[in-house]
Amino acid sequence: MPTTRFIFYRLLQMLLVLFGTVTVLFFVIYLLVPGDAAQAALGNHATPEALENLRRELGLDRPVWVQYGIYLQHLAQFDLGTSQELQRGVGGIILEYLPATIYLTLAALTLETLFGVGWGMLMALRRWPRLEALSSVTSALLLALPVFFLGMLLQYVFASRLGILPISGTGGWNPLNLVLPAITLAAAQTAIIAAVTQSSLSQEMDKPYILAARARGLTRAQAMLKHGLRNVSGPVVTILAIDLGTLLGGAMITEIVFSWPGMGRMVYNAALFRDVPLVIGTVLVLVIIFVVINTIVDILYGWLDPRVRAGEQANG
Amino acid sequence: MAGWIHESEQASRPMARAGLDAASEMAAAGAELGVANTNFGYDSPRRKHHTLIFAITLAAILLAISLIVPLLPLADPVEPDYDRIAEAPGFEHPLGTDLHGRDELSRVLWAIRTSMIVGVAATGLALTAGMAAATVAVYGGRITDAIFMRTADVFLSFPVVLGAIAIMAVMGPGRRNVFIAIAFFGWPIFARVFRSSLISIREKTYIKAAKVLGAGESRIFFRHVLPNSIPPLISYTAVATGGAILAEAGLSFINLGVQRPDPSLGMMLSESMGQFEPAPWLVIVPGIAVTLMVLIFILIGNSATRALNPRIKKAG
Repeated sequence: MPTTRFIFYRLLQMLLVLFGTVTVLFFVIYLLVPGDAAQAALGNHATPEALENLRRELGLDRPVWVQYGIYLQHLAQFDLGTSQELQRGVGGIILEYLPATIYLTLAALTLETLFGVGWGMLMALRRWPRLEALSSVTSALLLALPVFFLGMLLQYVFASRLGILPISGTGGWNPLNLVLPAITLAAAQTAIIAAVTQSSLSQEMDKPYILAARARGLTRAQAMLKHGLRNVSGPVVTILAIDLGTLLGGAMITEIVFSWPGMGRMVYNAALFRDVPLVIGTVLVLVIIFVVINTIVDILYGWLDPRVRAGEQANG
Repeated sequence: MAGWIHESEQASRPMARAGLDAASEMAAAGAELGVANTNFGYDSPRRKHHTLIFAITLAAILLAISLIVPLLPLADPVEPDYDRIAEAPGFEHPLGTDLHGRDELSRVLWAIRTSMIVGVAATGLALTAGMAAATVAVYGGRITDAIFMRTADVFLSFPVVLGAIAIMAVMGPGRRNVFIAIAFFGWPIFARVFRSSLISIREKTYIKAAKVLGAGESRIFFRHVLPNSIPPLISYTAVATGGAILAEAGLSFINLGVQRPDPSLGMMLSESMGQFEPAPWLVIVPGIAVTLMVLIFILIGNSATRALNPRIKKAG
């Protein structure tokens, strides 16, 4: 498949997924909100006339497909609605809290890449009779530890006991504030990246080109660094992009533990007040970021590695 | 060796191998739910079934505990007793009391029951829905297949925690809503795995043999295709149960899960934030309870993969 057609195909797929995402969220709101948006906005003591007026204004008296059309129209104009609690545009509120969440997520992504890939490389280098058991137990443990529990443990050890790191993430963009939240958020995904790296790298290390490199006098480590690693970068980067979604979800919880001034705290408060437009808007923005980044990674990967494009064609 | 990675690569072969497809299958099952099958090649053949049996025994004990909790002679988990706030573990309260003077042992056992109910119900619902969707997709012709699988793609684009946050904010907290929210975004993984499994089993020689022998379509499906398509789902189901327990704890931690006064491990931890210094048992007891529960299910998933798929053993 030619590159342009591959890119076009992936972009089309992305648009379909985004359209579906928006539709799912619309029906989540439409079908599941008890009462309706007018009731939610005005509270239980609103007069029937006020309710009626607001319903007409919001289009709630129209059939569902008209409401869906209005919703899409608003989204196309980047209008995510108005927060019921804060009486401000949802888009503006999200933009205010987004940077802190992105900052934390990127830090966790960096940690997870460095330690995950390093760990996977170490385990793929050769058999380690003792280390393998330890590694296996550690990874299962990292996956099982809930982020909030890990966060509280780290807070206790490094902030309360040792006093070497700040206990919360508030108070400016001091990189020290970032250390504990980022480690907490990255822990489980590090185990996943390590597993993916180790598994694809050990397969790669059995291939003839590695043998050829070894025959030319490279050590196993050199062959891995110079040749093997490059060939597993594709799957690892793809998993990293998918991990981003988990990180964004996990960030919501990590932020609460560390009082991180990002979207997690904002959604926490919004959810307490059942501020549906704000919560749904936030989820929508995060899912869009996730889908777009995954598409970009896919396109780059397909562009760099012709095997992916070929596979796409073979399977329709 | 990380079993899923092999398995999902085999499973995904009939499907488009781009981005949100092959990789997401593995990651969806693992990363999206916050868990993955990572074993790092650590397996000694003599021990594998022991691990599986051990883990299943532990899970059975958990299930038994959660079933008989109401019959046990425990202190009331809900009624506060303000005369004995945050008492250290002692004779009368083996695990101490919480900030409202309630017996921690009783609360943690009741919370384990909540976790098990939500975890098993959410996974059961997602599994059933996913298997039904896959069966319809495979037997319903090309167009039905495309519709169902693209729908699965849309649901897969929601990181489970984010999607569940949206649903919980809309529907309000409560045990029933939590398991619906988790299953709502959990089914596509099962649909994906089961679909690949069905497709590959349908092509097997023994199915053709049954056809030649004159077996009817439904007999072939229920007697031959269905039983042979299920094994790949087993480890996903175990790990997904752990993932659902983690998701429930996370949602309850941010007040979007189980409703007070139902005890929940996530909520117990969120109430104990900042209590590590004065009352460490309030953090450690529920934290370890969640971690162990998830660990047991990851262990079942890991060892089941290996027990069911001897090829992975050799590859390790």
